[in-house]
Amino acid sequence: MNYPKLITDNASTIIFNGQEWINSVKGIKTEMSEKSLKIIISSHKSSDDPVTIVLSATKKYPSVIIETHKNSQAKVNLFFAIRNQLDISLDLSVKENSSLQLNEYYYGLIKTQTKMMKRVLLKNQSTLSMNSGYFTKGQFLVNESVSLIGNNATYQGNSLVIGHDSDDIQVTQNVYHKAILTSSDIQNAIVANDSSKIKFDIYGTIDKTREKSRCFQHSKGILLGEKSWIQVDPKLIINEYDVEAGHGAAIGQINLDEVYYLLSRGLSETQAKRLIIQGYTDPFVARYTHPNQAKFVHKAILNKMGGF
Amino acid sequence: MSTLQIKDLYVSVEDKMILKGLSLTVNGGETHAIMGPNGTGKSTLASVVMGHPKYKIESGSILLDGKDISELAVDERSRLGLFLAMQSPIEVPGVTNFDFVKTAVQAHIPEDKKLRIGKFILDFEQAAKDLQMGSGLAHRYLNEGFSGGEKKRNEILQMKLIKPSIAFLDEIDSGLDVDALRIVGENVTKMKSSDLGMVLITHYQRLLDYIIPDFVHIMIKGEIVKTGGTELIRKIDAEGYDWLKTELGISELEETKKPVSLGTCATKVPAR
Repeated sequence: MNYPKLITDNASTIIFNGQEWINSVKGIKTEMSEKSLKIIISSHKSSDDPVTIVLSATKKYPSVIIETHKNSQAKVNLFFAIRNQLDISLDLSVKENSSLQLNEYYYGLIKTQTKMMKRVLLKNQSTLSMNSGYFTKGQFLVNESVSLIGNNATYQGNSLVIGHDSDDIQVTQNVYHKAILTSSDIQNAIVANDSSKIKFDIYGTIDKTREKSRCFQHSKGILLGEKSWIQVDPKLIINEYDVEAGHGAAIGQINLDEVYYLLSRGLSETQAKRLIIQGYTDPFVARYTHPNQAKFVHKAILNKMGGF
Repeated sequence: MSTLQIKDLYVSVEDKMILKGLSLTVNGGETHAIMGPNGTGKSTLASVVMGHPKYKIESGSILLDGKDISELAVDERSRLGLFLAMQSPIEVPGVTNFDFVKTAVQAHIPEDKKLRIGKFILDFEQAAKDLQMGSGLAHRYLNEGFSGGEKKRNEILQMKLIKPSIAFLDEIDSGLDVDALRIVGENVTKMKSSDLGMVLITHYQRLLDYIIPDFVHIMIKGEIVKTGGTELIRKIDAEGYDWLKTELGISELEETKKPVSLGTCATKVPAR
């Protein structure tokens, strides 16, 4: 399989081609066991340079496991090619006192339907910033389950979904606060073009006695096609008094006040609308610090946006 | 040097006439102040000149350098040299200030010319420094999370970089503290030149202490009823508008609102 040079042109890149790992990176251990791929991130000196993992989902290895070592810090850019009809899973475990900044990029043509189960465990004093971009074509069902099982665990989840043609993307996000002083913040940006259909079900649960926890969800969506469809259902299930929680969702067509403001500065209507939509996509691109990867992601988004 | 001519302009919104035969000429190098009580159409005037689609021109004309622009789109008017510093600048999340201003400046450059990005960065930084907007402005999202004063200063920053020929500043002083008002006033005054005609819409003398107008117009009930110099500002500041209404025989605004039934609330019926 050929991988775009823009994403592999980096010394800290490991690639799984569907059969085997074709290179290695210091500080990253990879294992292949029956039906699963395991990636263990130890003390990668990642202050600026993220590790890039390029994966192809295959029927042989439908399960991917990513773990961090205790007391580690890492930045990972994961490019996940999803091409076949599969049920796949991603298990992510962020160990005690470690922090992981994970940028996920899902792409590929799904001919019928693919389901993905994503399970995240956050242990004591751990931090995960997970930025997920769903740019697949076809029907993709994602179920994310984030459990904050350690005290002071922090989760920041940012998702960008772009629907095009007749894409059907359904994302269920569950965040469980199972320890005290845990914090979660979900921010979703959704762009629906043509006759695409995008649905988010978001659940935030704080169990009893998990005091001083914070659980926030915010989603914004923009409808660009007459037949495009977005539904967001945020839900909070709070069983403890001493917590902070909130949710919000704003879905609609392009705000005409914003368009007028940009027009009044000389931008054409097309430029104005493009810039407003970039407001949804640019924060995602900005998280790719490697210029070639940012370029790749930006190009892929433009491609996905079609006329915009 | 540009000239904006507004001739006998009648404008309505949702079948209500707001501007009633307003005429005004602004030449490059001139600074005009428009004052008047709330609801007399000052902001409507600025929005109509900019081309806001909400307003309908019933009759009259708006000419820029002799060309009728009343049928032109908002962006075309901007590219011809019109600028409106808005009373309530809009927030556009996710769009960085830098990207937006760069695109706006680029839009004002002839198509066959390219923006010199290095020079633009220097100009942007200088304008931000002049307006004391702090570092990080370029990467902040457009007006999102800005204080009222920052939003107004950001409007002036755009004006400095876009370099319009005719600018309306709609209540640019609202939301500004004393220091910010001075900064905005000084920056706007520095922009004064024969290449820029300005219309300041304000309620207060304090802005006009910093930006001295050449002409002061009083607008009441959708038309300019009096024009004079800075002595008018002092009189209004001291006495309000009642003297003018009396002098000109203008009655209080007719009360056109009628009581409207909002329906009935559910009432508790006593048990029998």
